[in-house]
Amino acid sequence: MNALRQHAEEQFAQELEELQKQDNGQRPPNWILTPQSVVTYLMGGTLKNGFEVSPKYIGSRRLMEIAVATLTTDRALLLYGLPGTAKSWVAEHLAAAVSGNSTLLIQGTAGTGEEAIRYGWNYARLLSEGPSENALVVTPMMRAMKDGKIARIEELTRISADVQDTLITILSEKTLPVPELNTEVQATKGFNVIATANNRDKGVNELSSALKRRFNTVILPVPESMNEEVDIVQRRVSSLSKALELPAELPKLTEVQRLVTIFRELRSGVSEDGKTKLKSPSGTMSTAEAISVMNNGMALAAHFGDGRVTAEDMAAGLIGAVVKDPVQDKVVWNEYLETVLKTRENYRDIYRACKELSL
Amino acid sequence: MRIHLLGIRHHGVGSARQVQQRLAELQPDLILVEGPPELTELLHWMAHKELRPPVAILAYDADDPQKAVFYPFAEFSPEWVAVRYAQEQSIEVRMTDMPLMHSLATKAVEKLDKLENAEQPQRRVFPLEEIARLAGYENYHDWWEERFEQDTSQGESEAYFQAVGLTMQASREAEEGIDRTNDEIREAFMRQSLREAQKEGFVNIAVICGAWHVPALGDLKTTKKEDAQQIKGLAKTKVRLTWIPWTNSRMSWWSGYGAGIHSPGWYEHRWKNPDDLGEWWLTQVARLLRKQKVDVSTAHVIEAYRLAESLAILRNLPRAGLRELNEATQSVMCMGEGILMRLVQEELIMAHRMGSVPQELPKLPIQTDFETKAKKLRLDIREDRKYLELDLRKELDLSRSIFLHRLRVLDITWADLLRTSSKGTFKEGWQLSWRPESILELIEKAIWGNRIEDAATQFLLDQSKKSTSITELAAKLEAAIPAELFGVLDGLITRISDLATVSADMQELMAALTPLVSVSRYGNVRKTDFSALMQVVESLLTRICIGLPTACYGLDDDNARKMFTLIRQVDESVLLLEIEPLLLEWQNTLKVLADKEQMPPLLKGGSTRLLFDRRLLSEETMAQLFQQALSKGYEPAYSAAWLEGFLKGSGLILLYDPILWKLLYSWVADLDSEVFIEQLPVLRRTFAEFEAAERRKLGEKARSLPSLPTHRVSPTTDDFDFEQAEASLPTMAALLGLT
Repeated sequence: MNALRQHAEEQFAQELEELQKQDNGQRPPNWILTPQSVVTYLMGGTLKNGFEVSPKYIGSRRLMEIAVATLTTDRALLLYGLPGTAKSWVAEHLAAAVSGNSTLLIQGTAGTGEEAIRYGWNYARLLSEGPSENALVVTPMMRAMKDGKIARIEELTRISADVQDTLITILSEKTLPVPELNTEVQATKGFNVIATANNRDKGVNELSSALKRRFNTVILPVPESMNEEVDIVQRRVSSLSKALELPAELPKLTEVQRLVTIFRELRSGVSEDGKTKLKSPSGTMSTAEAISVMNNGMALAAHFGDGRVTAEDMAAGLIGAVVKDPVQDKVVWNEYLETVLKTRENYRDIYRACKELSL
Repeated sequence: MRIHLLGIRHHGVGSARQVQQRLAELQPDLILVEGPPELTELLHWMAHKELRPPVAILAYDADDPQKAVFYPFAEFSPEWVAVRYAQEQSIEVRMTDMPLMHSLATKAVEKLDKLENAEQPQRRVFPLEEIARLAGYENYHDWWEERFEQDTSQGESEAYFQAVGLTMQASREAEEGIDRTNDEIREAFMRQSLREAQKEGFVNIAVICGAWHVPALGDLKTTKKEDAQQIKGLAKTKVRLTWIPWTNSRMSWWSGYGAGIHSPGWYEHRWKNPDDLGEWWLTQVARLLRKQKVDVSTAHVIEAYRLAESLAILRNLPRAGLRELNEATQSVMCMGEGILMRLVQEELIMAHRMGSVPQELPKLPIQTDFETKAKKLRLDIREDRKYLELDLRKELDLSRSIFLHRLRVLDITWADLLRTSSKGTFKEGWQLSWRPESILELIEKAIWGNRIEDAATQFLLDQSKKSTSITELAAKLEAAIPAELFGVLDGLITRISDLATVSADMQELMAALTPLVSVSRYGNVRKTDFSALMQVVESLLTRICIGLPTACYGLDDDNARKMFTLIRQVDESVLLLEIEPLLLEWQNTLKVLADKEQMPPLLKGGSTRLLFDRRLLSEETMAQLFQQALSKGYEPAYSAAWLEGFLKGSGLILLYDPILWKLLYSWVADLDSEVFIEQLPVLRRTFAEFEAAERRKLGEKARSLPSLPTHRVSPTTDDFDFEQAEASLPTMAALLGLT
């Protein structure tokens, strides 16, 4: 297997299989697992036979229950939240655990047209054979409807409003008319849609109220506690470094803690002990960014250092994550460096490394 | 002879329903309900049709009313249900627990103000927590709620109470190393009353008590001796009791039973609609949201219901609980946002509701007076906030204002005086919000008199006797005038003037002046005679004028700053008084302050400014003083402080007086850079208080002063590519619309 990144259902194939084995409740039509097992798959846990399922989402179990329960009804699921709060990650794993296929994906962009959601035409065929089933280009959405699987739409609010609204018929009537052929594709049981959208882009292409009504919304929050967040970063870093085959040691727990502390403090605008008010940078300082800073550090350490992640390795990525706006964020960052990090004994090396880079 | 122990959760809907059913099955000849025996005599009021829950029995120490306990009852409280059943069936009903006369005397009852934030008391429920955890719940409350309170199927109440008893037995056995003295005494009393009931010949007794106590009440024989020991020789106190209206928001208090609930609205709904699986509730939510102009259709309700149902199935629950319904509401109706949920929380889950008690309930005279007055003045005693604007020229509004001011004097927290935006003195804004515990504040004042007016007068007089601070007395006087408590005026004024004579504290005298002067101005609206007051004011001011210069000598920075504010206040008051001789006297004092050496420069500058504003200094003298203050003879720190005093509040004068401006400008220009940096904080403090527009103008003025050399910025022309620049001109012209 040479893929840079495996699909969820491939990477966790064994877990899905084990879950399926011990799963004896009633499954909704075309689901590969029972709803309870889907939640277990997401939140992790030990199965009756002792098999350990790794947690995919670290956070509130109740939120995942709402998400899964939504998919058992015929309402679509909208995952909403700040960038980097694991929306796409959850969507992918939900699709993998519900229909065993997370690849039916439509990426929403400003340029996403109706033909990307409904269907397109193979014009060569269309010209030579005239309108026929063969000339249709089947979209992931149409495929999901035919097979009774979960279709995913990333960044729903980036898609222009008129294109978004093509979803209404699909979601309410569960059918996709093809007037050119005088037919329609009717959704098989098990079909549903998971969309993700971004809080920060609110108002870009706000969903019409007709479309809103077809979604149940779950807002994914930023990790609540320090420990949760450290846990997330550690897990993701280790799994990514395995996939990328980085010849570096995994960062120590203290290293991750320090990084997460910096991220949390800047994000919330208060120092971790709650005593000092801080300015927040314009970026979101999400957990995903903390993960990429750590990975970046490991890559640097692996290829240009001695394989152990040091403060210097993290500094470049860290500054990049904080300073998104060269003027404002720089002030924020420098203030943070001088007033907070400088005073902390155990952050000396990070302070020095960052200081060196910003000169 | 049989004793049936019905273990309940206080205010638990499920418990209440089971109690109702079990009592009907048992047909007992005596019902004992957990609660101090003193409460028994008040129970007959529960049959009264004007006693509408939520209500509470208030019990307080007769000598110290703030030592009080509340026993709240909601319609769905098992206790309420049990007593009502007894009354309907003419069965004798009694309360059983440690008598209040002991408990109020022995244990330290929390004071009222602390109760507001009172948390659940530290009763250890670890064994229960453990059971809950094993059953797969996050905490004991969820587990109990779902296993015991959510509708258990009807017709099994015997088994239900057996299960409750066994659960508690197990957890009490597992409990270790906890001080249970208080519980033990209480249970000893409960057992004792059971024995008494047996002696009296009751044969079929039902006991409704907190589930925790059930295992302790089963064995009456072996504990007999110990109990007699335990309940002997406890301290005693005199207890008074009454019914008071209660509110839903206060149901969460852990008073009395040591148990509260946080969602009375939801409980009430469950009580009234036992068969509702969520449709009714969600419909109510939808209607509420619609009122707030949120688009919620019937389809939303259907979808939310289906989601709640799926969630319940996913979580292995018999039916969707409040949490599932809330989650579904948030997800389906609110686009995941939590803000609208707060509305649902306030209006439906908490649900504002206030009970009522019958008129003929025995009450303290002051309470009756309070209620009749409030009724006569058409002031509703309600919990939700109400805003009231009074026009003091109207008869009714004036009486209302007087009444509310009197309550304020009595420290009864019902009405808050708001600052009205309009300048007129005949308008007053009040915000009314009744908290049930305020009744205590009223009862506490009963010793001062039987009517609000008398009580207020006596209370105020007593307080003023105790006070030795002129400022405090002046504030009391200020409060007494709008409350029309004229009986206290003489006393207060004499007291103030006595204190003023002996007081050496100039700052205190000055602080007292402002409220006194503002009181004297009330006379216009309220038609009262103030000649005595004016005498006090005059003598006070004279004293200030004489003593002030001496009091200002050698003040340190902090005190000078305080004094500065006071001088300004006194100055304003003097202007308000409009009495010529006093004004002159005050101005002379100011002159002394401005001229004398050794005065703090801040005060000197400040006084100079006041005089100048009053046109008592010619412009030349002014300029002279200004120059003097900024001259080299003084330390820069001195000059800076003087400037601060002079300019405090407004810098306009600098804009319009070129001479002053120039003086200041050259002073700043002449400062060494080091000295400048030293003085910068003071200067900055001075200038920072100016209006933004003023500051901007000053800045502009500083930049453009023509008489002084300025740095001009000249563009460098060395490596300037004219050709390229010229090429851009047409585009620029087009952009600017010049073509």
